[in-house]
Amino acid sequence: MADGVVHIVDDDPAVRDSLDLLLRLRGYRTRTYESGEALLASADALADGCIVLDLRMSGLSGLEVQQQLAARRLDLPIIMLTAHGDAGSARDALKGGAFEFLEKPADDALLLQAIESALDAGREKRSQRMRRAEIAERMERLTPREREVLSHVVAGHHNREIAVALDISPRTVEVYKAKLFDKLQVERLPDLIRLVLDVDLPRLRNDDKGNP
Amino acid sequence: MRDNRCMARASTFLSHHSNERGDRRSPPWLGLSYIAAYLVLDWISFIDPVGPFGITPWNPPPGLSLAFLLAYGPRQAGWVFLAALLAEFVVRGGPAPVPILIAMSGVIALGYAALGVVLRHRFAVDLRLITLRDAVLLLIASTCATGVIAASFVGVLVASGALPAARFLPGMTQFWLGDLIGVVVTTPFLLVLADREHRRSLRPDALTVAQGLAILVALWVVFGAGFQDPNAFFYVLFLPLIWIAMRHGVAGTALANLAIQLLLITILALVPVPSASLVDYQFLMLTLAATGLILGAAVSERRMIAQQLRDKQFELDRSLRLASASELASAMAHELQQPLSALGNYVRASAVMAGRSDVAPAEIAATMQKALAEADRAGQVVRRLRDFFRGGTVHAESIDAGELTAAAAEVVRERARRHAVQVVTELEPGLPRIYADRLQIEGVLQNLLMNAIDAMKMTAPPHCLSIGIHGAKNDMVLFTVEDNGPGVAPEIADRLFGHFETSKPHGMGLGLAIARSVIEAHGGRIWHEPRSPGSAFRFTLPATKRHG
Repeated sequence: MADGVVHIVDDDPAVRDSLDLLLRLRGYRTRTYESGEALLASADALADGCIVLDLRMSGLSGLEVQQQLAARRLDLPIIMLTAHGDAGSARDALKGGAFEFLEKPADDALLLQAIESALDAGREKRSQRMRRAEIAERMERLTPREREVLSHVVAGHHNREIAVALDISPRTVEVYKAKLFDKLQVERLPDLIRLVLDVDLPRLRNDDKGNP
Repeated sequence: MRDNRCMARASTFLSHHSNERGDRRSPPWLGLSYIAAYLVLDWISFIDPVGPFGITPWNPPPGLSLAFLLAYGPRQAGWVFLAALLAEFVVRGGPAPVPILIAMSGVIALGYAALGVVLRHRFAVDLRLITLRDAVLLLIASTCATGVIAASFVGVLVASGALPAARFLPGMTQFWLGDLIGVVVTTPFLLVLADREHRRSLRPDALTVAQGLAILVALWVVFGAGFQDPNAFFYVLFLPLIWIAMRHGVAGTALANLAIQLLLITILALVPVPSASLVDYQFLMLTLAATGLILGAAVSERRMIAQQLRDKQFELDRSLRLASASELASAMAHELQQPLSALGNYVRASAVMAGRSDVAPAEIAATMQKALAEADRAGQVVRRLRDFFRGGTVHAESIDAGELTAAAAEVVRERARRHAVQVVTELEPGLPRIYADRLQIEGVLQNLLMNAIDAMKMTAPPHCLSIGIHGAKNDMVLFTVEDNGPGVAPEIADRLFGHFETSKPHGMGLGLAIARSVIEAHGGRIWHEPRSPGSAFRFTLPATKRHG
């Protein structure tokens, strides 16, 4: 059974209550919200888990809630539910980063599977986020000169080229590299490069999706 | 090939349609009644004649003849001839040798028959005279025709020596004016009387008395107030006439014209006037009658257009309602999916609970109770949907199947033209009227026609959409909408009238389901038959007599 909370947002009390009941019986931790506004109001509690979000609600629509969550850099996976699966809103939801788009009444197995993978994805995101935070912390310890050397190393330049570019001796470059390995807690050059890519690439991928 | 057949059938339908307001059927007693009325009118109006001949200041018999010929067609000219000839003997005791009387009567019969043909067939004048055009055409054509008839009639008298040549011009003028006044006053009145709508608008109300009094007061001002020259104040008579025209349209004006005319004649018969001023009065009378007629027709036309706009608006609202059926279906789907969704969850939860030992049975029962409430909620949504399409109730009436079909076809005409679809209608003659809710059946027809056009868009032309209306057994009328499109896929053919079955990428599949419930609510049946190529949808509706 997965850990992580399933946040259920639906303005229809019966739909909300029944889904809540079913998921709790299946062993999930749940929280329910009667509107998108209610969900956003308790955004602090949205540290982990996933969101099951109704597309058409009075007040904020599912799509608007999705946008506002993204604006607050809350990247919990969203399962969008709709009672009329028009292609237009499905496209908008998925383009806005929704994890899954399901039609109501959703097939039980399909919904559970979506929740399961959404929670997995949430966990994955969380660990990635933590690793990134840790690496960022290590990077903080680098001096400006060391960072300069690092950018050359990642760009694939040889010691000699770096020495010429920074107007220092190749020997000094070796010293800087040793310090880099030490501070970033890696032992080999490929590890160093993977570490830097881990920090930068996800950010790059997010930019592609139009997230801030 | 197919296109030509389409065209031929289309034109048959059109000609059938335009003949609907054609000549009335003439019962055998018709001619005799006409002759009797003619003789009475001629006898009453034989006042102040020129010599012994039928030349009088006010001559209503031609007005009767023209109305008769307009309503029953030029074949009645024989009766007109007979009436004119008889009148010469009965009313005037045969004032000239028989051949001359025959020639005079022939001139009248031929002249008015020709006028009738010109009005009906050349200018297609609507006999209800509810447009300005029709009223003006009647006035102009009658003026010309009575002029020619007057010249011929008096010409015959002069040529035969019965009238001195010097009296040709004054005789002709008086004949012309007398006949024209007779036509302008009598014909519209008779045509108005023949129309049920007009008769209904003539029902007296509180104002009728006031209007009658106004006419009397106006006549008193003209003749009774003791002015030197009554002609000078003749215009006062326009006031009540304008009032009546504004209020009752052409029907009221026709009646008021006749009343004023009769009162004038009576007054002129009682008050001696010099014969010179008789012509003046004729002109004034003519002007008054013509002005009233034109004004009345203009008022009627404006009213008719206003009514048509209201009708169109009403029908437009209704078709918009049908057009928005797909948006509505989408909204309804949302309404319906919510309870169904909750219902499913509660039942699944109950199943999970039932498999556990730590859950109390009461808890399962409570959950099942919640599921039940959701099932009820779904039922209510469905009832709302049904009520919406019913518009509350079925408002059935006796309607003409051909008119109904033409109205539905008119709505899709533009769409058909855009997709190069030939629409042909085949209407079995002599069909009984059907007993149905006009708007609902029109909606069903529109839906079937739209479906057919949409289906044919997918195949290459020629596209032929045919609508057939035929009699069926058990007092039913059978409607067929047939297209030569791609037809219905066999795998959905038997579920075609169920909900949410559609071959259209964007359709919600509610159209045929609604069509079926509408037709079945009327006691009819709807079904589909494959054609090669294409498909035919047929439905039956009860004929009127079964209900009444």
